[in-house]
Amino acid sequence: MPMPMKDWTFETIAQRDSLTEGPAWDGAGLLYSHCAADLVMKWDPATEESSLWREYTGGGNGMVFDRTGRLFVCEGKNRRIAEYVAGEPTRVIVDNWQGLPFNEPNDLAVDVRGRIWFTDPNYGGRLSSIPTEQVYRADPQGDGSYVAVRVTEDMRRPNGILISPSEDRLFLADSPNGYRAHPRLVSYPINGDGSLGEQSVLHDFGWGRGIDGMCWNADGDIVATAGNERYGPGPMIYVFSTNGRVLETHRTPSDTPTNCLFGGPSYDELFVTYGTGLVHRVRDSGLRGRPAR
Amino acid sequence: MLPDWTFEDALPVIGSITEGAAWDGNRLLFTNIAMNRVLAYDPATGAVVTERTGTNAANGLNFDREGRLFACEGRGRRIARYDDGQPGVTIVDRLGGKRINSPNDLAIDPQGRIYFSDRIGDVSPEMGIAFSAIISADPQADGSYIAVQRTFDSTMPNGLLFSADYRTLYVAESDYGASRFRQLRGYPVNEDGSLGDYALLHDFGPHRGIDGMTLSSDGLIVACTGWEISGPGGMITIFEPDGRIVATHPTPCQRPTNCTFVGEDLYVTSIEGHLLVARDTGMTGHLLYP
Repeated sequence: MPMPMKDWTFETIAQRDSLTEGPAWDGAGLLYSHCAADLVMKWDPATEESSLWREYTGGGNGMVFDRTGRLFVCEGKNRRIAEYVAGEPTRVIVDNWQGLPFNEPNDLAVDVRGRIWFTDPNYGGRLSSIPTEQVYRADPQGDGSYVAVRVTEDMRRPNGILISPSEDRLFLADSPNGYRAHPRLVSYPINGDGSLGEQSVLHDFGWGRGIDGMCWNADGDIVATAGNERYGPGPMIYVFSTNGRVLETHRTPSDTPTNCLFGGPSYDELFVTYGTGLVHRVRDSGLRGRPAR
Repeated sequence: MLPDWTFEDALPVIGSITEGAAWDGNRLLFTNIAMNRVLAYDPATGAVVTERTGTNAANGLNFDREGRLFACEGRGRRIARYDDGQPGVTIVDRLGGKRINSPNDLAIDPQGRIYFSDRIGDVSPEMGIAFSAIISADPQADGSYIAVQRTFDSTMPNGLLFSADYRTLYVAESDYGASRFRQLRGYPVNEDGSLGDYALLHDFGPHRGIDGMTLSSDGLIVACTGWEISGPGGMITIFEPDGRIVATHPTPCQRPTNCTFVGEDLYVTSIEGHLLVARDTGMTGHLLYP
C-alpha cells in the first residue's frame, strides 16, 4: 500500500475524567484545561506528570500565550475572557459586549497588536446571553482595559480560531453540532481596520463533526482536530493548506479530539486533547510548529 | 506527507473535453466528447488513433467482465455497446417508455448490470423522463436490457463506481447550483440491485466536486475533483471507503474529468482536453476487465 501518510504514534501523557482542551506550551511544559473541573493542569516533560496549575477557572477552555508571554483564557462558564498570571488573582479582560455577558467563550487567538480574537458559541443548553453565536475582537485601550467588538454576523457556532501569520486572514471553525449540520472550515480577510471581509468556505464536514481546535505548523498549514466515531470517517487530525486542500489526515486512537498544539523543546511534538479526557503527544508527525513568542 | 505526483502530457492537449478513460489491456480508450469520437492511445508506442467516430457525444466508457465496451452517449440519449468495426448497439434509451436524458458515466457489476448516471439539464428534456437519477440496465435472458431507476434523490449525478465487493455504489452528486450538493455518496447495493439510503462520505461545499473516479486495488476511491474558480483547485483526491481523504495530488489541468490506472500509472482526462499521466504512483487499479 502506497499509502500516503505514515502513521503517527500517539502516546498518552495525561488522562482526566472528562474533556480536556486549551493546550498551551509555556516554554517548559504543557498547560491544558480540564474544563468541567474548572482546572488548568500543567504537564512537566521532566517528570512526565501533571500537576494542578490553577483552579476555579470558571469552565476555562481555550488558552493562548501572546508574543510577550501573557496567557489568555476563555472562561466559558464565567462568560468572559481572562488573563492568568501565576500566583495572582484572575484578571478580567472582557466580560460583555454592549453590556451583555458573552455566551460561552471557547477559543482565542492574539494578534501582534495585542488584540484578542475569540469565539463565543453557546453549548450545553445554557440560555443565550447574546442571541447569536459570533466572533469578537477585544481591543486593548490606552489604560490597559479592553473593549469587545463583534466581527462576524454570519457564523452559526464558531469554535477554533486562527490568525494567519501575516495577519491578513482569520480562519474559523464554524461547527454547529446539529443533525447533518455541515460544519465548515471558513476564512475571512482581515481589513486594515480590523473588520472582516466576506466569508469563504474552505472545507465542509458534511454530516460529521467539524473542527474543534486548530493550530499552525511552521509551514503555514492548519493542523486541526475534527470528527468523532458517530458519523463520518471518524476522529482525526487534519492538515489543511490555507486554500482548503487536505494535505494529511491521521486517525486518532481516542474519540473526539478537541484541540492540538505544537510544543516541546524544538516545537516538534504535537499535543492533542480529547473529549474523552486524554492528552496525547505525537513525536513522529514529521511536522513542527513555532513558538508563540 | 508524500510528495505530489508529477503529471506529464501523454498527448498534446486536444483543446476540447476528454473523458471516459478505459484500459482494454493494450490500449487506453478515451472519449473526445465534443468531437464525437473515441481515441485509442498505445502507451507502448505513444501512438494515438481515432477508434470510432459519430459517437453522439459519448462520455463515460467502460468494459463489462467479458470485455465488451459500453458508452454513455449523452446526445444520443442512450447506453450503447461498441463492438469492433460495428455501429453502436442501443442497450437502453428509455425508462418506463420515456427517453432517458443524458447518460454521463457508468459502472458495471459482475452480473453485467450497467449502472449509469442520467442527467436532466444536459439536454432538452422533451419527451424524456422528468428527473435525474442513477439507472441500471439489467441484462435479460434474451440478451436485451431493462432499465430500472435506482436513485430517487439525485439532482446531477456524475461519476459512479462500485466498491471491490460490489456492495456499495459510490456516486458523485455534482450539481453546480448554489443551493445544490457536490458530494461523494455511498449507496448500499441490495441483492436485487436496488440501492439503500446513501451515506454522505464527503461534501465539497461550494467547490467543484467529483467528475469521474476509479478504484485502486487497495479499495481506495481515486477521484477527479476541483476547479480553478474556487477552493484548492483541480486535483486527484484519494478517499478511503469511509470518506477519509488520504491523499490529494494537484493536477496541471484546471478540471480533471476522469481517470484510470494502467499498471501503476494513472491516466487523467480533462475539460481542456488533456491526457495526463502520473507515473509510478505506487497504486494499481481494481478493474472488472481486463
